[in-house]
Amino acid sequence: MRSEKIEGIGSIRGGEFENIQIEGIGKLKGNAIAQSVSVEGLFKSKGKLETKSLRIEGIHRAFRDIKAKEVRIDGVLKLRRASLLADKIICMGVITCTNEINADELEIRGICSIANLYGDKVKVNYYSEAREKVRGIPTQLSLVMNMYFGRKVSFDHNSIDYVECTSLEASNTTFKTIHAQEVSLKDYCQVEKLYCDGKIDIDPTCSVGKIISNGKVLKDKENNDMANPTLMKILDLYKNNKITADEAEKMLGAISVSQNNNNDTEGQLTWSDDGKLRIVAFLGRKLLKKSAPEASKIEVTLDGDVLNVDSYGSLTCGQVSGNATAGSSITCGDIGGNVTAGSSVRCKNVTGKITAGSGVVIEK
Amino acid sequence: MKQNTIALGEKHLEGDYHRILAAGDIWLKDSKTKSIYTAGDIDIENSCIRKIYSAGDLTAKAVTIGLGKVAGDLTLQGICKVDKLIVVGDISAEYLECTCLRNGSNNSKVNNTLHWSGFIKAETFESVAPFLLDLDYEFATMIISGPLVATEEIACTNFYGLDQITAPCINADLIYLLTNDGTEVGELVGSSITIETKFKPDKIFKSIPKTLRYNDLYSDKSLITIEAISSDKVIINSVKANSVSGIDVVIGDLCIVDEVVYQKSIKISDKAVVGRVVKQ
Amino acid sequence: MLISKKDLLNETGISYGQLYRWKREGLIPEEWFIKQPSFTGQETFFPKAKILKRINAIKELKDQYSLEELAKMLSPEVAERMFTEKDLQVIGEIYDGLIPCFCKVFEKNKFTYVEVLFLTAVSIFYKEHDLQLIDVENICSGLIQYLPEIKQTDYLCLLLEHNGTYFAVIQDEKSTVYMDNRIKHIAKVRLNDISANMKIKYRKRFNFMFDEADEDDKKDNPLQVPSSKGVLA
Repeated sequence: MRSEKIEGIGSIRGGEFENIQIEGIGKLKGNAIAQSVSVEGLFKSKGKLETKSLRIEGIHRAFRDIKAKEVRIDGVLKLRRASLLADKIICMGVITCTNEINADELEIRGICSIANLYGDKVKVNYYSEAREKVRGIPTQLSLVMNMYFGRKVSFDHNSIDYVECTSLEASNTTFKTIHAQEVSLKDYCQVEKLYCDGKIDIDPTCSVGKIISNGKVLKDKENNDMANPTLMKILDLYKNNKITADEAEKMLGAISVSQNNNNDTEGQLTWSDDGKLRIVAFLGRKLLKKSAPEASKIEVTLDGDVLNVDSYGSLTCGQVSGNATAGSSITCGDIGGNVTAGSSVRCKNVTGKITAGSGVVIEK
Repeated sequence: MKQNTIALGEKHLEGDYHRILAAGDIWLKDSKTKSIYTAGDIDIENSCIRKIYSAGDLTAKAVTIGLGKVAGDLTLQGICKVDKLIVVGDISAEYLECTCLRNGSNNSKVNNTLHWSGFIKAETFESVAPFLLDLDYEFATMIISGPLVATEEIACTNFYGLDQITAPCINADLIYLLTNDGTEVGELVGSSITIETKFKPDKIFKSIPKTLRYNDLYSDKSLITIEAISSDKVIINSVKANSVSGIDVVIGDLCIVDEVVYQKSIKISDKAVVGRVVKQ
Repeated sequence: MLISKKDLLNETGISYGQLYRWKREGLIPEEWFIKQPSFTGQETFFPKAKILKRINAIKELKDQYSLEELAKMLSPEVAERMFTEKDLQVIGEIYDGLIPCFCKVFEKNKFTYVEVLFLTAVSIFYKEHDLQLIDVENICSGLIQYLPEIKQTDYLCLLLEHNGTYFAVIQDEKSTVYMDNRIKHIAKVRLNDISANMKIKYRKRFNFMFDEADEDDKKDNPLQVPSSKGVLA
């Protein structure tokens, strides 16, 4: 079986190939089947592409569906009116899709803007380092960029319109609708509607409009805010010149304070009653975020063993059955899973990987 | 009665005196004395003093005092009775009974929160300084013109809150609150509850024994939040409340109330927002 | 069964002011004010049988007695708590040597709060005026029959002497008594002072529930927890 390699400028009519390798500027004009496809330059596919392995380090613009076993994107994949169907997708660069992406396993650690996403295990974590991958694309001119990708793309957060999967883990991503069995949202995720009958874990930095779980509406932000009759009445008083702007401001201030206070109540919490110990810190009246420098100064000491642990600051505990993550140092006993620490790690046996900002001490 | 005595340094005194002037610490026992002025600490036992001005700490056991002004801390044992008592420091009292009791001076500012303990009974308690109400007390009237924090329900006959008040509940026949930013009260219950943005002393207030004059006072016009108000007579202004229940109810300007339950009469300002009105 | 505040006021015809004044005065225990979540935040409920019985009792008695007197009558310090021989030993003001004598004269070893105040007064007389044991016995047996009639503590206890014999008088504080000047007035104590002292000194020792909840009420309100507040508070 032949292989195709384009080093300068060239085009492929289609057919069956062993390997397709694009190092210059290439174009696929017909349908192609290949064992592996590697894109290091610019590649435009106007025919269907089916491959076991697709690796993109350059820019690949697809106008017809791609079917692959495994896809690794370190560059840019732009799917316009085309779908990507794969067993496993790992995206460290940029992926945009106006149609559908369907994968058993999908991990995005770069930037994405996807219309529809279907999968089993989906992880969407934004890393700003992925900006480097889009050198040459005029990211400053959002209009031009949106025209180029065919979708609105932000290089500050990810964007997915519709996602349907078994488990979803996301950070810094905007969703319109999520349907999932298990959901974990972190770091400023924004969701309009979330349908989840299983475990829901949403960090306080995230904003979720409506949560529907097991047929019940757990939270409806719209009803809380916009449909608030008190707010409407205050605005009416102001409109009808019954109260001054200052007075209206005071009244609105009073209801917003009480609503903020109500947010502390159990019914307003965005996570299920999962038995997890959550320790939060406030700086004045503001919730301390992970990125705040004060967060790393906090030291949490847990007396006893834990299942999984995630701390913004330092962490001291007994045995950890699962994974341990801390913004600063970790001191603990045996760890069953992986360890990720901003600074040093001091522990006993570790079954998984250790990632530490500074020294690692394994005690015997 | 013996004549005046001047005590320099430490001195132990016993018996009756007209006037005692002390620069150092003194101990006084079984005495009837007209006036004591002391710059140091004073320890009195089983005595009756008409007037005492102490710049230091006062420790007393079973004493009766007419007028007491203590700049330091006060420690009382046994049953002690004082007509008018003004204390700038902390009090620890086994049993203290006063007509008028005031914390802090009106002309010297106390910044730290005073802490009193023991049992104190007073006809009128005036709080000028920042105060943590965490003691056993029986106050008929409370006039609060400094920030007050109570960890439990405040109970008295008349309560005048003219400064920032934090309490889970106030239960008094008459409750008057001046709307001040930072006031957080869970529940107000009583016979007559008034919340205003301006305080003008009325006849009842004028008739209450007190040590200070309270002329017309104005609030910072903040909206205060009270969860529930239940009283026979309710007049409120600039209040955000979940529920207001009463026999005669007046919901004044800038009020936001979720539910009003009334028995006889109701008046709602056209500058107020009320959710549900129910006639009982 | 619980009753809401709204229904309670309707049913009993009392005002908000009365309800909360009685709470303040200790006529209605704080534990009976049960907060439950409602549309507007929280609503107050009461154990129906208990509160109706208590309010009716207060309404009947309020014209005869002041609220303070009623509080003393209805509060368990006067009405319900019994003090054992061991409790008397804890009270320092009661002379230990007199306790067997009290038990003998009263023919019991459990005493009401008013009796305890009286025994304290007698102990004070015994210590301060060198009374004999027989004098104590005579004083106690002379007044024993009147003690159950005392429902509050606004009384004076006087020690009198005539021809070497000691007598005691329990007198309403507000009433004026003109005594034959041949009777020598030896000493006087206020039951209120003794009571106040006891409140201070033995608060922790006699820290018990305000009202012993009976089984029915426990069923009515399973959430009720024992109060940490002593009745002497």
